[in-house]
Amino acid sequence: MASDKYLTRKRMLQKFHFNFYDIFVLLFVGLFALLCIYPMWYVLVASVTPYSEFVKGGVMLWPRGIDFQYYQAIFSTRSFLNSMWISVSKTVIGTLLSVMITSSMAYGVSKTHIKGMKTINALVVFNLFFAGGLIPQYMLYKDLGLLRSYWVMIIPGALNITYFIIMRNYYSYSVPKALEEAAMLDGCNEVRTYFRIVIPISSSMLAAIALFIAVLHWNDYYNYMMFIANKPELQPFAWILRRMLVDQTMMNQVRKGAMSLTNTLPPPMALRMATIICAMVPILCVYPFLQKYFTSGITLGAVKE
Amino acid sequence: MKKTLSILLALCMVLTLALPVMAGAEEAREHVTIRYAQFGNSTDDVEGMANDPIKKAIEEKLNITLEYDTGTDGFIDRMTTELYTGTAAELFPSFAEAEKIAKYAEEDLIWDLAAIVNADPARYPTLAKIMNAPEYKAYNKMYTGDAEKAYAIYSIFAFDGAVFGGVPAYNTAILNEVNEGKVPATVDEFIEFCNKAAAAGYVAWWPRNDKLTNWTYFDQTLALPQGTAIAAPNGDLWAGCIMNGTLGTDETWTIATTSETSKEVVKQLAALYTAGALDNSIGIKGDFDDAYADFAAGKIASADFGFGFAGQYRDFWNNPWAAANPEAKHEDLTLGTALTKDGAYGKVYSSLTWPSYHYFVPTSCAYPERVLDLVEFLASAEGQDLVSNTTNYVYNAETDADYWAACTAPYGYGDGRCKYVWFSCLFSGGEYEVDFTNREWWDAVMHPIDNSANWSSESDKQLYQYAYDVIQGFVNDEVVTMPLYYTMVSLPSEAADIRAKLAGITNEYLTQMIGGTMDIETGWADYQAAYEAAGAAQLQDMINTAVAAARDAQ
Repeated sequence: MASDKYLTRKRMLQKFHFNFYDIFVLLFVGLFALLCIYPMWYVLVASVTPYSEFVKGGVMLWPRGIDFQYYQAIFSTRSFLNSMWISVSKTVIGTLLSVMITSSMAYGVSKTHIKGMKTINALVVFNLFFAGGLIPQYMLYKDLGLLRSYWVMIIPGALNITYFIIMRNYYSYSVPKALEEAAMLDGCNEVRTYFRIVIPISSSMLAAIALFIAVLHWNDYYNYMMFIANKPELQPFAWILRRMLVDQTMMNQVRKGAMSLTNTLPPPMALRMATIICAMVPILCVYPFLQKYFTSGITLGAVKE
Repeated sequence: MKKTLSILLALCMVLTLALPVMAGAEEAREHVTIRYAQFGNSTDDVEGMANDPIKKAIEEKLNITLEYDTGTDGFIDRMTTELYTGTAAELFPSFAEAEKIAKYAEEDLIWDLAAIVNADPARYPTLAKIMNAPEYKAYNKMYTGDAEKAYAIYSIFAFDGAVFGGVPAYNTAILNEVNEGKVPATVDEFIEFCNKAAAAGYVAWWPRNDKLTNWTYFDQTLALPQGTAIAAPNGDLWAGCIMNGTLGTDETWTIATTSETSKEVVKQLAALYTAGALDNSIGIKGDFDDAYADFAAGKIASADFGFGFAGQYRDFWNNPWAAANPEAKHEDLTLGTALTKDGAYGKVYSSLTWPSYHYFVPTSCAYPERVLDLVEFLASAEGQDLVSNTTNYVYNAETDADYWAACTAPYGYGDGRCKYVWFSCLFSGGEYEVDFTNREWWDAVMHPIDNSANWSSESDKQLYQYAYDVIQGFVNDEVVTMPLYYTMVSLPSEAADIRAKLAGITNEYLTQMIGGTMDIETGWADYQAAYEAAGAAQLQDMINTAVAAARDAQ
């Protein structure tokens, strides 16, 4: 039965250079892609559409005129530029630190023949399921001097337990022991083996995880909201975006700034759209550089030999 | 004579010596840093805040350093976390929640401010007057059971005028086109206008029903004049209810949401929806901006624009209307009137006031008396004038209009209000000036002073006056002010669950009925049954019992 279907498809392919299965797949994938892309496209179009056209409403497939006044308004607001810098810096530093600490600790803990590693592993994993809660966390940060500091957005998340488990399993089951032993025979110690052998062959996984962690850092505003809050110079961009969506005070501030540029009060919705684009673009730019690692990275562990 | 002169001379010497000491009393007190937190401000302009003249004036006056703290999302959670971890701001707010205040007090997390004030009333004359007011003590008793202990500065929300709603603003051009310029005055005229506007291709009415929460606006425009309500009994105590008996004496409330009269109102709305007179995205518009933009673009003939104050009409004309129509004139919009049915207005009940934020001093603060020095100053005539009527303050030296930009920009309102945005909610939830010097506490918070006319433009003044005059034409017939005991009615905790369930049922049924996916005649019995099953009768009993208890306790 299955071979009949295969033959039918093969004959169609030979005759028409396509078959209906391909058309179905293309249509389905195309439609799905459209569903994903259109909201983003709408946001982009709305962010550059002049207000007089924007208020006409309806489906906007193409910009009805181009007007960058909303972007001008956003970038003329000092807190936006500053917050962009904070977000970029905390994403870069936080990601590098997190990948380095999580990966090196996972590698160490994966060596279960070393005494105490299983206990350390259990203690780390315990924290995945049982957290102390907000108030103990707050008191700990206070005692560590992290409250109202830039580092509270980076240091507490430096060890990412979810990715720690993935990395530990990878090092345990997917890094060939023979390679490590060969390195040792060639005179490498554990640290050198880790940096010269293990990291290069784990680059796909590390790149994929780095991307996930970078996105986490880019989108995070909770740490600022709860542990910093009253230092505007440390606001990340995700917090600014959040405020643009829910905080009328922030919106008024940006609209007033825009008014000084154009003498008209821009619509809040268009400003929100422009802010969303500003929040999306920097992190989108990271994807192409990691794309080649990404596919192989996220399928790691899917097949066991 | 000689003796008299000697006494006068001695008196002068004593005064000469004493005055500098008295004047320097503030400076003699230790310097402290006070972090003050207020919901919904902005600290983004660091430079502007560093050069804030009003902040400097307060700091110099009281020998303190002020730090401002604010937030919206997660703000109250953060305040609570800070309180429990000993890092709270020296003066911070929470919403008025009786259980929370009682808990804070029980756990010794906040200072009993009355004890500090009453220990030295000469130091805190205004606060002593406030905290010994019988109404203030009634709030103390309500929150903690002890009338003599005041754990908070109570901020009370009150307006300087009556509250009404459900009176739409009309697009005058459309009104002229479809109704010969005649403003609908009765329910029947309004429905006729809506049908005419729909026939001409306009959405006739946007009743501010985004996110399905505002059935109240349907009530205030259409249902209340017809003697009923379609909103769920959720929100105001009397929402969805009709009053029986005499207010203040023996009034009782009947839930009218599923009454036969309400069914007729729902039929009217369904007919309007079918005719295209109601926006077909009613209840799903994600933002007021969407509807306001449609109104400004001339697609909607009439729109409810806010809670119905003159100032809100002025704001509505400015934005969205004038913002989208650069050549806008005042006459472009026409403010409607409350509708009548058979010559009678619907009754809009309003308590005119409700508890707003409450400000606490945490026990982690080692100098609560210094924090109360700040509160005392702000409550005084000088302090209120400084923060609530900034025109007076800066007019002393500076009348340049540019000053306003410099003054307001650092604080984030950015909407032309020349009010000092910090401390604006400390005593008045509506952010008005309060006169504690010449009035008793309750009288003062119930009659706040609106200084906005001092700084508004000529256009804004005219808009405000126009709306005010229109409103005066019907407000006394429509609005019923509730007795004071309605601010102290407390429903049992189970009531909240029932109210939430009823709100969900109303949203579910009314949207289907008005949208035409459920037959009203056959669906109404199910609607009534769902209400009964969710506990509507018990809720009605709870309301009437709680009202009677509050009335008897008055």
